[in-house]
Amino acid sequence: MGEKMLMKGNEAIGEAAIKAGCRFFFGYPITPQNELPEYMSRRLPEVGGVFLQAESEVAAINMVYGASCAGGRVMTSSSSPGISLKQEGISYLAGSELPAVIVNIVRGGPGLGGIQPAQSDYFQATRGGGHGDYRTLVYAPSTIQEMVDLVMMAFDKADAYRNPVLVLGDGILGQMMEPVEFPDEPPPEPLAKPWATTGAEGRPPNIISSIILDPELLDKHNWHLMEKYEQIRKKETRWEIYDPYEAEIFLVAYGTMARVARAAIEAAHSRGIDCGLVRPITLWPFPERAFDELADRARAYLSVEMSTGQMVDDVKIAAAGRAPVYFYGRAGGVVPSPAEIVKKIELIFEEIKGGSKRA
Amino acid sequence: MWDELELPRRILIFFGGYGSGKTEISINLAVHFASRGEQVTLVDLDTVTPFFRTRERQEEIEAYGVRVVTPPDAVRSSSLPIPPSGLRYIPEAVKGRVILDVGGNDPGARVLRSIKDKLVQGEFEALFVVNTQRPFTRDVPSIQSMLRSVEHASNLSATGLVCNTHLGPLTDVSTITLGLSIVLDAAAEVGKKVRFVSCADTLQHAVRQVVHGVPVLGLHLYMTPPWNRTKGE
Repeated sequence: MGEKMLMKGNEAIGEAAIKAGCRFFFGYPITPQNELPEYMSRRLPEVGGVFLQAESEVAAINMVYGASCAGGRVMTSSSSPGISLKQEGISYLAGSELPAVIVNIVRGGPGLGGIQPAQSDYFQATRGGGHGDYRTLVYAPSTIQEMVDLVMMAFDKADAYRNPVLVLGDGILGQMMEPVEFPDEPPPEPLAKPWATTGAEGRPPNIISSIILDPELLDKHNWHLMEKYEQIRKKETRWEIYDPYEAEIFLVAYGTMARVARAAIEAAHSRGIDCGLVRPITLWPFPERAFDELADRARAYLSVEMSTGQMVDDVKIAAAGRAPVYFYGRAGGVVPSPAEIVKKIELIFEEIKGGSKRA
Repeated sequence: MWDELELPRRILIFFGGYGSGKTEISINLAVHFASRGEQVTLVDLDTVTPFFRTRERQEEIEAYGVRVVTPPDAVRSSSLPIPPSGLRYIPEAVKGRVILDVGGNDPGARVLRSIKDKLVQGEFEALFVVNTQRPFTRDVPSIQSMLRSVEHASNLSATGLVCNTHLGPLTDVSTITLGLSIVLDAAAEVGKKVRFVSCADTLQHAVRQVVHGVPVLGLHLYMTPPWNRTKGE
């Protein structure tokens, strides 16, 4: 690994993309992710790439579609309202089986909302967001170094599965600074893309489209996509279990919230209640297997979110009735404090009592 | 504790790259001057970034007797380029120390143009803050280029440089001495002085052992979120 640098999340995403061989960026400004396009506008010309500020998010995502058709490694970024605008394009990318990396530095919604950090785009990110039967791999980094690692991986996975990959952060991760390092060696040659529209000289033309009017063929196409998503589910699901105290109560949190949750776990421990943490690193596929691993001893789960309760649905599916699932969240840009979470943990502890407080 | 520090001028402006440390330095100096009994006004002039701004710690800072001036309440939680009302009158009308904490890079520095004609030569310092561990100020040429761009955007010539090199929790004394040697070279190149070197207060004694000729400021870190103050991930 190379020399360390102190970077904001937004800048680190940009450098990671460039290190991964991304040479095309199309975007439109929106707080709190502006440092990312700003960084790309500065760095891409230095490496022979193209940065283009489009006239809108809709234009930007369609430029991403075009660059991806032509075989380029391409990225766009935005924040919640801008990502809503991009949904049609993301559905088209999925339908046409085109790789692209899309970054959402989430802010509070709905509507124009505010500019403070949130996790209220979980449904949108994990349920497709746009129309049609499709899925996107969704990475949710929790540190700036992990952001770097996952962004670099996102390009490879997008190419490997020919599918858009989302990176979900929040305004805090976008703005906070941490030391990061990048690999020294140049990225491996990206996969060959024999399907790309690179000029048809000497071969039949490649046609990339998401329009399939024949119902039988469209049905077949959808099942082909589903098979691909099944592969992603099997091979790409990632999570981390943090369990220093062999706990019976597990918090479930991702991104910034996972960091707050760890502080809450320490605070609860000092008050005599031991908790652990399930941290999904991929939000889709959701790490249901983590909950299977914990099934024998988890007596309660607490989903902690910067939203009014979205991931909690997936926690319920994953817990599958084997343990009760609780929720605590704040919305609109308010970050739950460790103290608020500990209060909720204490209530849960009372409810599931039978086990006794550590002496 | 900052006895060697000499900043006699009434108005102190901190500008520089994003994340160079302008806010931590501004808050620390404001609290320092207030603790010496000076009347201090700290102006949050960040019109470009959405978080990690002085206004988030307003209550905590005001408890030390510092007056904090922020953009109007209606846009306080926005990143709209709206400065505090009455900004143009602050340099003349506000008595005592005035510290201006400016937003990053050239877009952040631009707001200073609106008060340039109100600043009296010899009465203010415009200090360019550098962290050589940040992406666009890692060596002498890039520091010069960042300095030129914020000077051009603000139409103000820096009266000195500040070395605030650190690598977050991985900072050690050599991080700071290496950074300082780069900033000293850059300063010499543009014919300016390094006015002080700042570092986390936990490192200040060790840094003083090895740094001579440049005042060392130990910073209390006000902007670190409480949940991040425990040991890192």
